[in-house]
Amino acid sequence: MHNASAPWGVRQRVVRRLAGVGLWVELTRNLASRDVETRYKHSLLGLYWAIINPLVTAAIFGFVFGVIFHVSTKPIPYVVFYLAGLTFWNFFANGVMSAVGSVSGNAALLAKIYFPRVVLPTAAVLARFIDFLFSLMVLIVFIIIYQVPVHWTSLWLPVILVMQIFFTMGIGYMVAALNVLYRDVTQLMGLLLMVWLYFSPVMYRLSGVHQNLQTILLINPVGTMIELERNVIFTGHVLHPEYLWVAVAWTGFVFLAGIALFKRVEPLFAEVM
Amino acid sequence: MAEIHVDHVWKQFLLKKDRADSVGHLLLRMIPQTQRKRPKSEPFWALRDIAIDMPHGISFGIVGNNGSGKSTLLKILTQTMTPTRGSIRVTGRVSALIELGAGFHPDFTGRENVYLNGSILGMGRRAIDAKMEEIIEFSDIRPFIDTSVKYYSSGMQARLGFAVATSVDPEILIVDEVLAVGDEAFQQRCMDRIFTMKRLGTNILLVSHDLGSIERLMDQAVWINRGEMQVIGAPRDVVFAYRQSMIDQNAGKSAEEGAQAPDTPNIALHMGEAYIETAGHRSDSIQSGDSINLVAEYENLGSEAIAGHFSFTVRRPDGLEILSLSTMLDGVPVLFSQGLGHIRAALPELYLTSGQYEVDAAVYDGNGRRLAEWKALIRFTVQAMQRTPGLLVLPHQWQVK
Repeated sequence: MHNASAPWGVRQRVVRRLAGVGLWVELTRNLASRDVETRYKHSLLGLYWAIINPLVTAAIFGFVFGVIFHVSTKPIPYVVFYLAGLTFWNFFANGVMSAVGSVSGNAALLAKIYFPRVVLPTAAVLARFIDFLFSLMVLIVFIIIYQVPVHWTSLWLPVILVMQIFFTMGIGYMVAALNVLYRDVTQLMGLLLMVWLYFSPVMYRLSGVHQNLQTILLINPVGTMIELERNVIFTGHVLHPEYLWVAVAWTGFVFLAGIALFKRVEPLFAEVM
Repeated sequence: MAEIHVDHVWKQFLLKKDRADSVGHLLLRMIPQTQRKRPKSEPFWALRDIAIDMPHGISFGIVGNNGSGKSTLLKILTQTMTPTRGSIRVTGRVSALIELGAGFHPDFTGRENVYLNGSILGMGRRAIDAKMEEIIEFSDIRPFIDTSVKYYSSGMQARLGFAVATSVDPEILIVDEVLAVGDEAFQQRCMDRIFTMKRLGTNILLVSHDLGSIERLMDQAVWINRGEMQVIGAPRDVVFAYRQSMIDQNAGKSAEEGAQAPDTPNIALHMGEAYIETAGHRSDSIQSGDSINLVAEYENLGSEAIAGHFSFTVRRPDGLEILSLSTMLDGVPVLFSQGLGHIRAALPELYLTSGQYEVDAAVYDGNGRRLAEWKALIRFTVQAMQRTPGLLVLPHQWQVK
């Protein structure tokens, strides 16, 4: 757990250090699976809830926008279009909201013994990623039902998803650390995510909106990622490739800044809680 | 090689937090300093200049009153808290018996919680698999291991927590008086296990109010008071110094109490000198097994004799009553005659373990209502040939067939 400095050889130290990292990876996995399991313990439908929620929301929005307002997203049916955006958005939003309370809600674990605290928000985000994989299956089922043509470029999806995981973790580290100091962060993030959702191309298609709203994507990498994810599945070409690089830069910056901030605040955890 | 090295650690807490707790405070802060009275944040030093070296294979005991900083020191040692000044270096795998069962998730079964808790303590899944049988066996909850932890009694949770924490093969084990949970048989098993580990080379760091076990079982000890190290060294010396200070404190306290409230509000009886007689002369140090007399001199200042009862109580300085001699229970009425007199209780043999003891005296009326009490009227030391745990050293013989 703690690494010695003096009498060991470098090789032994490296081996020990790697073993340590392996253990933290395992702890992260255990915490994440605990998180997922807890949500569905003692519920009859269990993991099906991860599927039911997006289904119902997609049905409502599909009805309201597709049938009542006749929003057109041709050639893709609006339900599928919206469900795709919502699935990717939900991973981000739920990941951030889980991370917010991941440290402050685990005071008992913190008091016990030292382990890298960063494990907690990481596990929280990964748990939501597992949920996301289930709702991704719903999306696939809808794509099959509506016989929407899918492009081979969909194979790029995992690459963008990895980027999205890192971005979500970066934001997660920040809010988890700040929430220990001020619990307002939970409320604030709820509000912020709501606004953020409407500035992201989840319910509408980017090409149909005003140019100014499109440029907002320069500072909204989540929006860019959602647009990209939908593009690689349904259209096969990237609408604004320059935004991709901006989003990559944002991801790197947010992830590193998140870790830095978390490390900075970490020594205060034991005192404030 | 497992070592703990505490290098002049200081720890400060701000009693009045110097951070804005609400937007109101935040706005208040923006008003220039001179315009308002700044709420003074009192710095509180929980630890001052603690320096401890715990080399490989040495077990360390920490004693001190409540609030002396012991727990803060433990938190720093488990690295859940960082020191304000100074640094610590911990080498080797640490496990801590702090908050047993903390981190157990109530909805998960005992077995699932073992995996989770084990991985927090740095154990891989395969290592836990290998230890699972032993953990179930030790915690004695086999029928319930696949039941949700929320249905466990607190004792069961503590047992499981203890079993997991000690199963990770720590090189350093930090123990914080958690053993106050569970029944006596389990406490004994816990102690046995801790000291088996000690024999096998685990460094133990024990924080306890049970001075006896620190004295007997630790190699080194430190006494911390109000965040400062008072004495560090051999457990015997440390515990002695700590006990001495407790006695002095208590004496100070009872003197104060005596000054405020009259000792004998209802009777005109003054207690004079009190002492122990052994082999015909006074002594404040006796051998275990000696024949002794407890003697208290009194003076009845009233105009008539007082009829009532009298008692001697022998205590350890920590308050544990060992022996109570009462004329009421023995059915021997006492008449305190006018003027000077003395009362004497003869004990043909008193087999106590070595240590320090105190004797309280009390006077009751004929109905058993306590009229007056004198705390720590006599202090004495018992010396025994052997150092043994427990309270008594009784003559005994062994036979093996």
